Amino acid sequence: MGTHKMLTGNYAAAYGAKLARVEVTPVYPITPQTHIMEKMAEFIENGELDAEFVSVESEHSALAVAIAAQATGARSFTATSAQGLLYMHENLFVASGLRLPIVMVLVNRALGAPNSIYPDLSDSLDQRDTGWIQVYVENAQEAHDMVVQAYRIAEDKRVLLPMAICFEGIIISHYMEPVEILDQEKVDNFLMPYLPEHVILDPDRPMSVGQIVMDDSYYMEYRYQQQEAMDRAKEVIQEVDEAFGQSFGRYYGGLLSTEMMEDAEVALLTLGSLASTARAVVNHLRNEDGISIGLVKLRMVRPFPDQELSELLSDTKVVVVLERDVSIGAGGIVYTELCRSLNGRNGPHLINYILGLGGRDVTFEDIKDIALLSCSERHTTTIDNPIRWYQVRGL
Amino acid sequence: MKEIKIFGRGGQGAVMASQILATAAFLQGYWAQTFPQYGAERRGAPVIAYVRLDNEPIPIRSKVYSPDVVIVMDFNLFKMVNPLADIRPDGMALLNYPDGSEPPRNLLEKMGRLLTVDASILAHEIYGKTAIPITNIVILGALCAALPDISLDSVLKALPDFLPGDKLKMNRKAAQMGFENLREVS
Amino acid sequence: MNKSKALGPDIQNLYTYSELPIGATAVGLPEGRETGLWRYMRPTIEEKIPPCQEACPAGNWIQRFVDATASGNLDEAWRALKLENPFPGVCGRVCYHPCEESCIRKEFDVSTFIHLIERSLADSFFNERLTPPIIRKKQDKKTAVVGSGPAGLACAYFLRVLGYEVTIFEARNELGGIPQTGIPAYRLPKEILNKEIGDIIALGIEVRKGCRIGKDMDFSELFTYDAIFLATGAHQTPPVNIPGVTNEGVYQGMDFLARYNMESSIDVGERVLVIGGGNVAIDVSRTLIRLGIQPTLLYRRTRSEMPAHSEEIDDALAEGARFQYLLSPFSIRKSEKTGLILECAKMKIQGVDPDGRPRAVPHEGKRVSFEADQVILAIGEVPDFSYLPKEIDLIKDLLWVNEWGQTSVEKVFAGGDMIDQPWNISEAIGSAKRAAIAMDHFLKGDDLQNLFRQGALAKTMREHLDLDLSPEPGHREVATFNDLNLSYVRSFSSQLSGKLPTVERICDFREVNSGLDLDAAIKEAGRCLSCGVCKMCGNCYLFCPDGAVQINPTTGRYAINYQYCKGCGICQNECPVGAITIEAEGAM
Repeated sequence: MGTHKMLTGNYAAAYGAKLARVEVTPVYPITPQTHIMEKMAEFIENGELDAEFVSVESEHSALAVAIAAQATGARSFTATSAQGLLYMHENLFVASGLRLPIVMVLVNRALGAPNSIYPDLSDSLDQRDTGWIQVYVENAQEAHDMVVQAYRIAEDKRVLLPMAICFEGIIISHYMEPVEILDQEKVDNFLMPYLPEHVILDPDRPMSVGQIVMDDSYYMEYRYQQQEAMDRAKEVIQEVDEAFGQSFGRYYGGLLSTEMMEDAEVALLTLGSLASTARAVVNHLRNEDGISIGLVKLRMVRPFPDQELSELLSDTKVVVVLERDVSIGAGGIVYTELCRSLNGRNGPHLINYILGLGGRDVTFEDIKDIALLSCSERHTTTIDNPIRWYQVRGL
Repeated sequence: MKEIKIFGRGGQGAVMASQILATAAFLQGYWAQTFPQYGAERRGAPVIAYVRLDNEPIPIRSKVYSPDVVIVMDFNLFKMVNPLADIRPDGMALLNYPDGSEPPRNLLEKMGRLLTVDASILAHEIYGKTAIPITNIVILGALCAALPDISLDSVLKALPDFLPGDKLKMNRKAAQMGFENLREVS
Repeated sequence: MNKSKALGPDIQNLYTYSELPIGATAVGLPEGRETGLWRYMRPTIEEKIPPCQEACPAGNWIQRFVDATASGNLDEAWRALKLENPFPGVCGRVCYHPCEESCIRKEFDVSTFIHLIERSLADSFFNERLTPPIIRKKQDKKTAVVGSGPAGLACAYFLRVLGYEVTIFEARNELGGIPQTGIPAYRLPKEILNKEIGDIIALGIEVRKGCRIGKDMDFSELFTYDAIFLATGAHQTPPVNIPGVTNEGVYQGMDFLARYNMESSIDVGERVLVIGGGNVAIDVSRTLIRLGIQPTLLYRRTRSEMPAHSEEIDDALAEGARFQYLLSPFSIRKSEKTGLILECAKMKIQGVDPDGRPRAVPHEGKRVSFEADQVILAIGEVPDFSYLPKEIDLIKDLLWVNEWGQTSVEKVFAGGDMIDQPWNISEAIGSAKRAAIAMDHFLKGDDLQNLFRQGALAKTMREHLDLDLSPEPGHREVATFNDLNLSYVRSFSSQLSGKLPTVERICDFREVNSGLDLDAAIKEAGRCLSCGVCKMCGNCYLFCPDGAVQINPTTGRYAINYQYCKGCGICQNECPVGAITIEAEGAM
């Protein structure tokens, strides 16, 4: 049994990194992430963590340091948000292309302009094509647990991909709530030290990494390796979730989790903190009103659970995707991904609600209203206007 | 579930007050949740912090719209916002309000209980003169006297995590003084 | 669709998406978002008095004319300079410039050379016809000024600017007082002085030369004027308690200078002793050098106690004057051969005099004697009050005046060396200005006592004529070094003006100190830190995160909009000149 403490999402994530015994923490501040690296600095300063704290001049360099450190075999950890993540963009490909299992916390923040420190998941969802595993968590506890799990998933020899733990700025990062801090000894048993065999920068054993490939040589082959690794990550994610549950008593469901989905005619599909509220709404509507509704909490966006979703939703009449992000000109990013998953099947109606952008408050009543409205659409033959912007003034 | 809204001004420690309050509740076995409303953080700017207390995990993550308890750390805030606009009819408000002045009885119409503590004066006595009176711990002490859910003892237990070392003794005193100087407006 | 609580009633009145401007631009602050309500600290644009202006006895508008010079606005600089002082060419040369002593720039690198800027402006406008800054409309009152030294001429000038008829009565046949008779040409070329006198008279002032009140005209006749300003200076030799001062070959310093300056020749031998340590003693010594004589100056204390301006002493020494200290003359007698023998007591410093200066006392009766062809006593002068009616009160050996220069006779005012103040040109001009302003109030029938009590009696023309640009005039503090933000200041000092080579000064009355040419003066003016006075640099406007600093369209000056000012203090911090103060906000 770990110790319980009131922690913010940021501190919970930092405690997770400490328990994973990270060895190098390159740091560049940006709200709302900054508290994570401040806490890491505190751990290192007071001797609770033996790690190199590297203060750099930009996010681009922060990830470059993480890449170099991980390439020497050191477990590295960093965090960023919004514009900082975009500044890392090119190095995200380097990390995944070199198959370095770096773990990074992405605290979602709206991208300017206009400027906001509140969340919009677009910053991390935009990076879904960079070859990183992406998990979206709904509260401080899950953030804490997933940092520990992430190293075991990413470092698995079948995977060897970098992994991002994404959660909403302010709404998770700055909310303080009870968190069980895992027991160090049990974490040490759960998470073996990082002992790479593929990339090790070592003067005694010289090695060239990231070298040039010709048009007729291996670019496609290296990319296909990454695709295979991402596919294999699905089973690893499930295994790690199982192992974590056995060790610590909390199961998250791996790629996704469900609530009341057996026989549900209407499914709310969402991710991040919205899943908590949606779960409460689903329970309420089932218990109070007997409405046939369930929840799918999407956890992994990469690897995207195509198969799992298509099986899960095969008998559902309406799937309502609630998301705090948008791909301008296409709709919600998760919604468009889901369309791809269910491509060519005679599946459920899909409705997309874009809401809560820039931290616009999403209440229990908001989700309940959306759920009830969607229930009324389950018998229609076609859905008009499937992509809906919620809470836009004047709309 | 009990929902609490704390109004302060940048520099008065409203956010810390909300975190200490939530921690005290957590130490008493409640599930607590607290968060600040972020804006342009600056000395003097209105700051709002929220606290929710429940006996089971709290799934919602929205602002508080119908608070059971409203704490106003600086009476000047009434000139900028109306902190009591959405208080529940049976709610309770705790104001930092000078003991010497006529209590604002008219506010009582809107709510169940109205309490005051002269936190600015007490803060000056405890911390000395500061540009902005540091009223957070004094008010928390007073809240413990007003609210049966939270004991002064658990606030005192929560303090060291937030105000360690030299600051602790002074702030224990502040909580105690607040606890002893609560006034009920009737 | 149901309204979300997040769009609750308190913020319902926000813009809809279609009403918003394109491109995430601000649409102003919605009601209830006046950030001024957040304020704990209140910044105020509150100009301070530049220490140079505080130190200037003449009340010059230094910051204004220096700042205008720096920005190349020479006409404006000239107007500001002339508004307060009709003698910039003279003051730029002979004033001992206390402004530069108090210049804050001194603590940063080197004082701004204000006197050189003043002089350069005067020189560059030398050939320009004087345009006074302002001449008020004609006032139906006549005024008389007695004496045409700097105080008399300045008072006449200010009264004329204020619209009064002025008649000057001068006992001599030349106007100008001490600068005319007592200041040698190598310090003050005559054409500079006479140009400035001419400009004053050209404003339409009646002049009666050769009219000594009490001799050529009865004092009572002055009472036909509505107000009278006395400025007859101090020209009388005080009784000297040294036996033999009446011997031939013994001169009074001022008489010696006047005779040389007015007649351009004087007979002196090779051995000349000058007694005294003030500016007159130095002027006499340096005049002698220019006549080819190497004088010896005897002073009863030491160099550091000499009242003469230090730069003058240095120049005299450089030119070959010999100084002997701690010598006090006690008798002059005729020599058995030719000339005079001056006997002196040797002195030593012991204790302090009541005025705070080290006291010189006889050194155990030791004596020393000098042979001399001439002995020139430069040990001070006193005013002549013999022509005054007895109703005009004296105090000790001086004319009594109140704070605004009024004597015990209501319509008679006085200034310059007759009254109790340091005797120099800038003090003379300052006293004349205060008196002219008071005379203006007097002639309008104002209650001067009351004005003075209320602090409403101006000491400068800019205040009196309400030309000061300060946003909040009234009681102001003097700026200090700590008020300034020197991050914006680059250290540099100008090439100092040159001096005539020492060898060329012997037997030559050419001006010793050369001025700055106009370009150099403009550059030098750029060194002014504008202590406490807004020079519209725009930092406050630029840095204010709330756009709360705006230009007041009526004054053209910066003003703070307290509806939005959060009291963050950035404006105060970034103000290079210290014209913004910040203090705790009062009860809201």
